[in-house]
Amino acid sequence: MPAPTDKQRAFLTAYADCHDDLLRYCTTVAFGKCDVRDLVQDILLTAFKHFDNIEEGKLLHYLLRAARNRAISLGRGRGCKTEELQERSLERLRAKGASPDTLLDVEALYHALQRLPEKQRNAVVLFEINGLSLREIAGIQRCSEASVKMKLSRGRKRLRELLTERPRHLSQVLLTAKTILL
Amino acid sequence: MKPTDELSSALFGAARSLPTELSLEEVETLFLNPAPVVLPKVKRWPHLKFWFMFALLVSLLLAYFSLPFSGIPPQLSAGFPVGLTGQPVEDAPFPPQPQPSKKRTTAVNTKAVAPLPVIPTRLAPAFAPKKMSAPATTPKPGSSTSASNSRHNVKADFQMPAALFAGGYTKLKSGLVLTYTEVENGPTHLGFLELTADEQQLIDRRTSDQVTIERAAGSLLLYGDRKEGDFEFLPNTTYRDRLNKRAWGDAAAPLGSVVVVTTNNTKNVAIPAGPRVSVRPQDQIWFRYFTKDIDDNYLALLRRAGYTDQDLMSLWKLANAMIGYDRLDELLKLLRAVLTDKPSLESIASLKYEEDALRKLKARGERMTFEEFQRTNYRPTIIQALTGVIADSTQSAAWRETHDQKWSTDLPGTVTKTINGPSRKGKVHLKGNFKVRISKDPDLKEVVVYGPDKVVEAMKQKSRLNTIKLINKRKQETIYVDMPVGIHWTWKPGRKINISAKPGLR
Repeated sequence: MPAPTDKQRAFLTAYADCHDDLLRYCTTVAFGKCDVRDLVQDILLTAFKHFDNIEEGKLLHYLLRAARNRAISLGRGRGCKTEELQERSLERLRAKGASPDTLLDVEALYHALQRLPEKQRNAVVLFEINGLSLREIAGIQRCSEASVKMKLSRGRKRLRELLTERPRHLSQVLLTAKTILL
Repeated sequence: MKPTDELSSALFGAARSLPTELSLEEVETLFLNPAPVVLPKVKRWPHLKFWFMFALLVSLLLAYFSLPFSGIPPQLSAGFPVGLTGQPVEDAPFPPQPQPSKKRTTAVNTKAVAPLPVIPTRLAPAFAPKKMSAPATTPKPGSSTSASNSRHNVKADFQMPAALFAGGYTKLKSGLVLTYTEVENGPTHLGFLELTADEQQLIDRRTSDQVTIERAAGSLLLYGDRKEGDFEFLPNTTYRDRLNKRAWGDAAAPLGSVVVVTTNNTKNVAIPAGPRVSVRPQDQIWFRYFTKDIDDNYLALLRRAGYTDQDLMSLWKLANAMIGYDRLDELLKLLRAVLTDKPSLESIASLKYEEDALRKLKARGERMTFEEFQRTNYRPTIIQALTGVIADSTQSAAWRETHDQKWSTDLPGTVTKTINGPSRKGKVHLKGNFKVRISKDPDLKEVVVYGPDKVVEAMKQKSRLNTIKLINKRKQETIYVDMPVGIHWTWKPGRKINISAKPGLR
């Protein structure tokens, strides 16, 4: 591995503070959509390219925004199947010491989060998983705190519904489809 | 706290307590030594399945809504028309629809409405220029030039190309006899246009007053009914210019080179009165390009026979000799069989009168050069002449004997009956086992029939002189007919008629 340059070293130093938050966020948004390794590498290279223009202390915001956008872009062109990506992600977490029970819960949570609207999901993940404040989220999403609050409220409500929702039977689905068609 | 909140809190807590998927070292390695990004393979048709299903759905919906409505639902019609006996009852007739009264005047009822003045319309051929002029009057037979002149005097917004010739036509079985004038108050010329089967159908099944016969050289507009009417010949200027540009057209025809047949009467079927030199040779030649349908196929036939562009400069001579495609094809085959060299087109035009001699040579299996053929002047060699004389004398003697015994007490060749009626007509139909001798005597103006009195008398009775048809019911009897020059011959397709010129017959 070549020795890092001063600029790279400075970037890595700044990045170290953002690592946990970024990885958790990336794991959430990339679950079943794209590979976290690809996403992180892509984000870091982009951030390093624009590192000089990023304000001090705003690197996390930049990385999260970039991760969100990049995850959407990568998610559009699905090279792999969703199940394969999810399995790969869970396997890595298991290798890092995550218990199977935790992984089961997390998988259920991630599935429910995937069904949320994008803005609500983003707010919920940043607030509940990454532990960011409303102001920080408003800064990342470039909106007001009230807006973030509303998204959080709606996201939580919807998430509760999704988590307690019974799985639909095929007959119900067919009945719904028939009703729509007729 | 609600149980659901507890659940979500627990799940969020589990997510927060998760170790990161990649450690910091791994991320640094990724950053410092980035692996090539494996981009997902771009699908060529990313939404193919969606669009296919969408198209299928749309087509199904369209098919469903475009199905014709049967009108009566099956549950209503099923079993309905059954009588007391259980037999199906026949459908009751629909109540009679109110018919329009016969007294009602409609736009089509020509008896009730006075006929509107008919303005002659002319369909412009494909080659006609965009600017056209509507004719003011219908051309009259025999006064075509004046009619066309008057038409040109009419001021109109658009102008039709001037007709090259105009006049009257009479429909015969397989062709049109055309009478027209070259110049105002000039003699009436006689022409014949042999029609193809399609063109005949076009005229026979005409639905309007006007029929257009289109060929490569131009269009013939016919105004009239199925039997007679007026015609106008519009040349295809594009094709004419194209041929003239290569010197294959009518431009090379000098004055005095074209002879036309004139006629004195224009009513019914015109009777040829005699030859006359055309004063408009080039137009006349181009008209013959039309009547003989000289087109690209004709040129292709000549090219296949080995004639070059230089040779085709004499193409007008073939048109002048009225040699059509079929005749040319036949002639070329004969020449190929008899002559060892290739005669010029001009020679072919003259050789068309020597078909009999060529056939004889072909039957004998003789081959010679064109020069030799001309030098012999169709005369056989001494040995051939001797054998021919012997054969001829034998045949002649036998024929004379038969003729004397069975047909006539007169000398062979004596005119037993002269039919004056159809002799001047332009066309003769011969049915039966005829033997026809064509005289080339230009002074001969009558059709002379040789044969037993009975046959000739029967033929006179059966024949319709006004339609120029000679019918021989006694097919086993042989009669001989002399025809004037310039007469047009037609016979039923498939009927074999021997045309022979027996020496010493006359």
